[in-house]
Amino acid sequence: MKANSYRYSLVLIFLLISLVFSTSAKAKIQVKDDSGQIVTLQQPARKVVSLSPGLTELIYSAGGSEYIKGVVRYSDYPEQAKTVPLIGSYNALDLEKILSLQPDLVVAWKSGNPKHQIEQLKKLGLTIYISEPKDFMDIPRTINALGELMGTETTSKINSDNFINEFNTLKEHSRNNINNSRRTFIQIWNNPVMSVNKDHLISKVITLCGGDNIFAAAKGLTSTPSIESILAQNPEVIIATGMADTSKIWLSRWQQWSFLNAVKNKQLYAVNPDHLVRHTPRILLGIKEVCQLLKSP
Amino acid sequence: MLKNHPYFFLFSLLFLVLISFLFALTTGSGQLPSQTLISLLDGTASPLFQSLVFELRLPRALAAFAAGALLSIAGVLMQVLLRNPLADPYVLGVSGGSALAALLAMLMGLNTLWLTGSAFLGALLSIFLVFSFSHSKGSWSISRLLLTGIILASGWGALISFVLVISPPEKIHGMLFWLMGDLSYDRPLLPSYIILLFGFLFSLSISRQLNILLWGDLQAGSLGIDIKRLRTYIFFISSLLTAGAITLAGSIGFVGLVIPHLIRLVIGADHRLLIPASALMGGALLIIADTLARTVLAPQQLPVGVLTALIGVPLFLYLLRRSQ
Repeated sequence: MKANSYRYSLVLIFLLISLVFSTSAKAKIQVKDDSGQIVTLQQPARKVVSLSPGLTELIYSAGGSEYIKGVVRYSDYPEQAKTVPLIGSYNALDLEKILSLQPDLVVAWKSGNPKHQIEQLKKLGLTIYISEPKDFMDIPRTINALGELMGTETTSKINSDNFINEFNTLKEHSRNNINNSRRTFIQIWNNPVMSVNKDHLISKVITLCGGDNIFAAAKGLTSTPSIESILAQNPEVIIATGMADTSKIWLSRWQQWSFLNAVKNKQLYAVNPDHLVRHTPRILLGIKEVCQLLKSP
Repeated sequence: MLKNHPYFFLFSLLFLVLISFLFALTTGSGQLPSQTLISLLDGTASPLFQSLVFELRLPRALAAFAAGALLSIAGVLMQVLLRNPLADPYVLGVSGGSALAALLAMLMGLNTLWLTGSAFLGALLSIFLVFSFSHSKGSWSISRLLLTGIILASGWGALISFVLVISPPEKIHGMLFWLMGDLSYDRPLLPSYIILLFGFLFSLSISRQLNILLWGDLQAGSLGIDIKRLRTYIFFISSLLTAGAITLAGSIGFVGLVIPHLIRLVIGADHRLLIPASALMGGALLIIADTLARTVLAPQQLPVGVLTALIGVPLFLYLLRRSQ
């Protein structure tokens, strides 16, 4: 009997010890990324490298302004991002440069970065968070995940909550405005004329604002519809997303077809693509702009 | 002078290869202080420098050397086989079939290993198609072979354009890099080196026959050479070498066409020398070109194919002018 209780107390001590260890093991950070992998860090990331301009924005809004040590080309927002050392462009990374920064976290873009280079970075032993934002709510979710990885949850929580609140307000607002969904042609390129399908962020903004993308059902994310098919669809609104003044030139080509509803009713608009192509909080600006245009005339 | 001292020439090329390896290992966007070079050798360097040099730079330089050597030998053989100075390793469509398979693999988002495998299979398929269409009963004429190859190459070209048009924009950049020749992939090196060693030894062993073949079929025939069999060998070896190179580095242009000519300008057309010299020169050129490709505009990366011609064209024109 005595020997037995002795044994029990041993077991108890063992359990206590393992409990202590398991709580200390819990101190490390574990976050699931968009490829389904668990990203594990022993301590908050202090040297972060961003592999897409959009992710750079998300790292900043997650509170990583001090920890971001390398960015890809065209990381132009916020203004500070322009002073961070470059590590190549999102579609051709300079692995050597990345490695010499000795980052403890690399934030990669699944569909944008070359697959073989991400494989190589993994092989070199770097910790990689793979991101693949597809919808509006992926923006606050990614901000929170990055905040957790960098130990900056307070900032990331504030910014992601702000985003969700503002987004919901805009959504409510646009819902009140929807009368009949206006058939919209989204022009993202001029030669050849290119458009996007329903999975593209721009198309989602159009839908949110009560528009109806005429090429929503197209097969690829981007497509090159024929002029004929655009004329046949007779859109009520045409939205061009060219850089700066190029949109005006793009839109002028439609003027020759005065039978188009969009031309008849002067519903040709140029929209700044900066606020519409990246999955970042700046999409709110794009939503505001587009919803303003799509309001019934 | 070099013609009379062939070994001197080969040794200087070997030296050039060593220099280019050193250049590749010590140059990069990650700055490496010169005193760490010694610590790298005795293994006391920091892990960062270790992986910079041994995991990033060395495999790339080795891949560049193999690709350059493979393409140069293939070029030499193809120019003898087709008796045409404009022949290059890609003229018979091997690169087209390989590129199409690689692009399809990229379109499907397969990983590096599958990509490499399909590139190699595509090259083999193309070789098989050219051979079976041009190898009619009995005769195997050069013009028939060349015509089959060129037609097949145009067919591949059309399919490649088709794949490029239907591919999503975010994949096109990688595809264009592959088509121009890109050494940034972390590919297995051993198979290429086995092909290189085998192809090199085999072409060296038939180098005398290659010399005789240059005089014409009649002379070669009268000297007791089985021309048809020799041609078949040359075809398969050069195609295999090309397949090895493309699988390693995409379709790098220029090297296979110009390196053989360049070496001929310097030491003449004796294949016993031409083959090893072209291999060394091609390897060295590609190492230097690739090192520049990853550093000149760093952190912007360039496909190595852009650099090979930029270095090779002036060099070739200079030698051509001097040889007149």
